Amino acid sequence: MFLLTVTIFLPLLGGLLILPMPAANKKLIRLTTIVVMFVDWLLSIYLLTNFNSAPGAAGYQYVENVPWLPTLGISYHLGVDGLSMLLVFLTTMLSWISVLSTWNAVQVRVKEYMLAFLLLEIGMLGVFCALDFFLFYVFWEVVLVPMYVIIGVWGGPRKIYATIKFFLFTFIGSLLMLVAILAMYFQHAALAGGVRTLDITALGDVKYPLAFQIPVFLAFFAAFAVKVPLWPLHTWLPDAHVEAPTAGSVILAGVLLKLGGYGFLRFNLGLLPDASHYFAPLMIALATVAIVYGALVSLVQKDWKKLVAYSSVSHMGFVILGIFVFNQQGMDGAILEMFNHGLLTGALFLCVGIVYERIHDRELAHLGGIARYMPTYAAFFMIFMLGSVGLPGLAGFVGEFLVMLGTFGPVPAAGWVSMLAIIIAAGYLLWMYSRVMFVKLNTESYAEELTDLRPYEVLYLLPLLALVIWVGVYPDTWLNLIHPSVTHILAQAGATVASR
Amino acid sequence: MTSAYVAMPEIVVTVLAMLMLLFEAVLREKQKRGLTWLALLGFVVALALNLYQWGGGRFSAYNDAMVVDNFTVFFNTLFLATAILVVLMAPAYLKERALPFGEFYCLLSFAVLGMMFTAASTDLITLFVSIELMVISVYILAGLARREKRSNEACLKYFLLGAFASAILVYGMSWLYGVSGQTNLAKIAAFVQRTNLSDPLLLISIGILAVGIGFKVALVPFHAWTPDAYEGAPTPATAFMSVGPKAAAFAALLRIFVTALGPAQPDYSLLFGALAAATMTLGNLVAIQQNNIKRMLAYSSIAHSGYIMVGMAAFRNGSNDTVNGVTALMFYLFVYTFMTLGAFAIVAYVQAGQAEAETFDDYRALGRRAPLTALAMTIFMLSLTGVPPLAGFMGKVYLILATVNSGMVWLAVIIAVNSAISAYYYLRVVVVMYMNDTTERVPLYRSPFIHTMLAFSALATFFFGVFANQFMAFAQGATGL
Repeated sequence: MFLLTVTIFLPLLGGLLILPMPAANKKLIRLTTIVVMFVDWLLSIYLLTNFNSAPGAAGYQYVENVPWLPTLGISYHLGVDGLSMLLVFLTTMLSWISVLSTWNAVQVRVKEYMLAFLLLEIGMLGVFCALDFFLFYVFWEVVLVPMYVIIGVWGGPRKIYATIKFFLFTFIGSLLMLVAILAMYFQHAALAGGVRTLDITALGDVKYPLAFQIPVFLAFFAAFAVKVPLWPLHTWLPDAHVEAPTAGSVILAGVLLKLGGYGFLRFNLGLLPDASHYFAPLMIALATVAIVYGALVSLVQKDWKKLVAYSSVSHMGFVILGIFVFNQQGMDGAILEMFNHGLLTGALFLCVGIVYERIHDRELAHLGGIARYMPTYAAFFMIFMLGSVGLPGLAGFVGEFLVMLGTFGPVPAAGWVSMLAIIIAAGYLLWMYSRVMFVKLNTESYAEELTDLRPYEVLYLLPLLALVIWVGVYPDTWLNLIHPSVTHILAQAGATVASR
Repeated sequence: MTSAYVAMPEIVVTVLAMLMLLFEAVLREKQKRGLTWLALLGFVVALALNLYQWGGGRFSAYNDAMVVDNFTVFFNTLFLATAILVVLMAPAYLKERALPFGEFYCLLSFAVLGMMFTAASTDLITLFVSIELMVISVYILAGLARREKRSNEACLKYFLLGAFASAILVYGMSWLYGVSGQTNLAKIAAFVQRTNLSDPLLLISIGILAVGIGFKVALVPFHAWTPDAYEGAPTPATAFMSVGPKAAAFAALLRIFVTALGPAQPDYSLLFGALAAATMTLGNLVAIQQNNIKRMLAYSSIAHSGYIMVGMAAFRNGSNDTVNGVTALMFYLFVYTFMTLGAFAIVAYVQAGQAEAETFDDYRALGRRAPLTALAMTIFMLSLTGVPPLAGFMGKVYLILATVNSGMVWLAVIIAVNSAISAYYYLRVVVVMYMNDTTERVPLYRSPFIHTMLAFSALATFFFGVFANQFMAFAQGATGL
């Protein structure tokens, strides 16, 4: 059963379906795309429910392995563990949600828009499922092009600057990673008796000398830290988010940033344990700076969307912090925080988009009192906002709490500083909410435009809401899923240290 | 196996060239458009005959002046495919500019003939004569639009510097002859094997030959002729110049430096590495500043000479590894051919409708005016940038693999950084086509030939990437020099 292949390439079928459709029939094109993406989501739910996460179950499941470039020892090798399963589920869900969210907002070149999102979904799913490093790289770059087009064509006034910046930042990092991957190819062959392979499961079998691990770590860092984005490589993010259409922002924050965290977990920790320990203090320091910096910069934003974008920098800092403290709680928290951030920040961007679609304005100073015009919306938005603040009982709390728990033991200083940032987060998010929702509307003419949520908007916010509460109240469902992966990654990162 | 049998593809092309000369003289202007079909037929037959020789072993012909082996077949495939694609892209442009069909095809055939003999030659004399046959035909092709000043300028610059380069090349060959007393490449190799590698006479001849070839493939600092020549020549001729003669010059480079001077490889690896690094970096940096697409593609072509030359730097004499510089070089040439010809064909296509359309502004909103053409251009630009899974990416991967394998990691990093720099100007084309709008409604030319050509190149660029294994194996099978 080629279940993963079907899941990854189902959007291609959608693309082939909409290609011959007349461009004027926008409704049919949108509907087809959303149905295909929805079916893909159902498929990933099927994969999720049939995933065996019992302790001692096989690491990678639904494995497929077909030779692709046998002359180079490269194969089409797919498989998922708990970590990638979780992210696959997140990706398929956010895909249909984000496309549905721009049902009305995008009216020009609808067909191309849908094609870009379908291609994007293929790339994102491929990245999480690839078990061959080369295949991973191919999907990694496939993600870049549609995102570039989405920002560049359907973006805001400074879209071209933003999209080129986005592309160049990511592309330079990726290329350095490519060189490192290929260097690893030969280094592995030299250590493993001439077997040339880029299979992720095989690459970790040998112990690379530290002098080799360090430059490779830095090259991977260039690719993954840009994606996360880790301070000081984050500068593309606010530009990209502000200019991107809502759906683009949702995918960017919800999934693309996770590619970086996923890369760190899978490759830096999995393959380069010694260098990971060597660089851990630096990574923790950068993550802490990102957490505080992102929070402080969010405080002073005038643009609603930019505020949410900078809060991403802060939240993703927690992910990196949790990864590099090398313990169960920290890593559990980091992975769960990735998932939560996808749900919550995705939802916040959707909420910003809902208002922006109505009044085409995001200046915080122009808004206010929206709760009076859009009560249902205000309720949804409040839950997502509080989740992002880290209110116990909602998703955001669990992830950040676990990361804190993991951090206070080994690096108390980082723990204290990040704790401070959580307080700042409460500040900027609550202040944002009050400025947008309460008091009175600062621009009177907007009053008529602000109609409450339409049924389809409720439809796509509901699953997010349900998951935010589910993760907040009963995180075990999700923690059990990722536990075997966490144990495995920690063993990879730890075992080598013990033998050093 | 008689010599004539072995040289069948070359003979077919010769006959084709002669027929073109004849028809150009006797046919009326209108009838000459039918010559496109004749040219296609001739090149396709030659290609089929050529492919038939694949895997047939090694045959020398004409007293060991030429040889047919997998290497020759590989390069002939490349040359004939180039010729076919150029023939498909030319009619729209030639018709619009009222340029002579027969002369174009005739010169093209002669140039291809020279290229084929270049790849097949095993002797310095044959090699030089073949190169001259090729370049003289191409000089005239560059000046075909004889009423246009720019075309004249292109022709003259190309001719003067080309003649200069030929002189240097033949001078280097004479040094090599003086040192070794041989013109046969295999015998020179045997001599080099026996001799002291750091012999200054040998080093001087290596240096002079490198300069001569450097001019032909437009390596920095011998590239100065390229932008003007490429910009001024008629676009189909430019497309041909940027691929055909370059590939042939690389074939000559391999014949000289691998077959004959292979044992001296430790002497020149670093030299070619430095030339490659300078070439790709300068080519890309200057390409960023261009506003004319043809000129941008000219600098891009210089940069790609740099990438391809990396394969030469990564060549290690005596290594049997399948991941080696020569295979990487040949595979890259293979993918480079399709994506570059495709990009130039788009320029020719846009110009056929709009005579002077060469700047970025002329490509505004092409995504709306001609969606499929713009999609093809996007594929070519992304492939030239090196975005997976397209062919250009696989080519770069193979090059980087070979470079890392030969221990030159610094060069691999330079390739990577250069790809990132090049992304800027290649993507600018995509930006202009899709993200800038225009109210102009200039009609685009419709020609089944150029559409076939574009579809074929775009599909090839995609499939050579996704199914790269077969084509890598093709290059690997051809590497045994």
